[in-house]
Amino acid sequence: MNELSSESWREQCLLYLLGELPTDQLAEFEARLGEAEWFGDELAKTAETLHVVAEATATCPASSPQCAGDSDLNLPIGFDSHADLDSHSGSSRFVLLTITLAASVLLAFVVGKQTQNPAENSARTSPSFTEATLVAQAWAQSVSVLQLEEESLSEFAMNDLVLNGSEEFFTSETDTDSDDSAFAWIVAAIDEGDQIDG
Amino acid sequence: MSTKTPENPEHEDSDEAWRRVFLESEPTLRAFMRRRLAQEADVEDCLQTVFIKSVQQGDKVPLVARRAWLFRVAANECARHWRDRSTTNRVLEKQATYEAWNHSDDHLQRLVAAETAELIQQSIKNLPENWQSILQLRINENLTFQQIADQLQIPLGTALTQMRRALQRLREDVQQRESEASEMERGKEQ
Repeated sequence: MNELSSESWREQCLLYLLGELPTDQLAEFEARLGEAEWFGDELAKTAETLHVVAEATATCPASSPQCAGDSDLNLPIGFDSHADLDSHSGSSRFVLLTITLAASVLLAFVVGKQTQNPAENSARTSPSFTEATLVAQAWAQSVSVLQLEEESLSEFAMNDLVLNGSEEFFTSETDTDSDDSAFAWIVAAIDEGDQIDG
Repeated sequence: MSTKTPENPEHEDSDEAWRRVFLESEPTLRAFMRRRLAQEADVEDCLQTVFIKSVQQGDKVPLVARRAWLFRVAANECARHWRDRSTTNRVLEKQATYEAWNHSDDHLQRLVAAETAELIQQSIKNLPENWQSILQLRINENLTFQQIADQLQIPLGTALTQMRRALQRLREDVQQRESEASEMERGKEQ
């Protein structure tokens, strides 16, 4: 076999590996492969080079799965548009990440603000001082009514009944009450209301 | 450019594409392996291994290079077969070192592949411009040699020859770099 025919066979290898060998030459090609060992070696070398070059011409390393299938898509301008696509998806990913992070921080701030000062919050929702005053007035009125009832009761007790301990206590307590005690109840009620509300 | 070679039909999933390329290449692969393996059963085993590996690749291998990939792996499998046969009497020794070798294998292969890719990219820039154009049109844009010849207004044989020479040059560059690297390794060892 002379040099020219050897070159010709090498080109046959290239055509075969790229799927361009005419079908009527395929049988001869396979027969040649079975006969000459150097031809098999040449086919293997060409295959290796072709594969390595095809992977190397991708925009990113051949080991990267992202770029491995680039040529499968067969875009007219090769791989540049894939690089653009990658960079766009990268930037959009960054924007999405930033928005998510900002939303998380905002949410954490709002929740933290709500839970940070429960006394303040409860103060907003507690009855106003006017309400507390009304409650105190209601207490004061009830105390006045009680006093009236106690006065009549004490008269009744003085005349007819022997008082037991609890009644004595109640009576003695009411006895010690003066007009100031009604005011004390109001103050105590207001204070109590404030303490309960926080 | 919407023109595509017969090997590149649209709307074909990865497994189907691999199966089609494998079936088309099987008679030639068989002839290729018969020359390298002694027994028909070994040929069958290696063919099966090549097929399984091809399906596992998915879209990792560019479509234009899939047939080349099959022959590359077939050659490696044949070599592995003989290596395994020759070391049958050293199974235990091999088993002892297998784990360590296997762990570093992937990483090492990636490094070598990345380095080779970088070298090839650099070498392509040093090729004559018309060779670069043909390489780009055939591999990246998947045009047939006839389409390339028409587009560049050159004879079909010229397009084919320039492509072959471009690949030859790239192969020589890689081999030269490999030999330089191995010489450096030897120098370090000494």
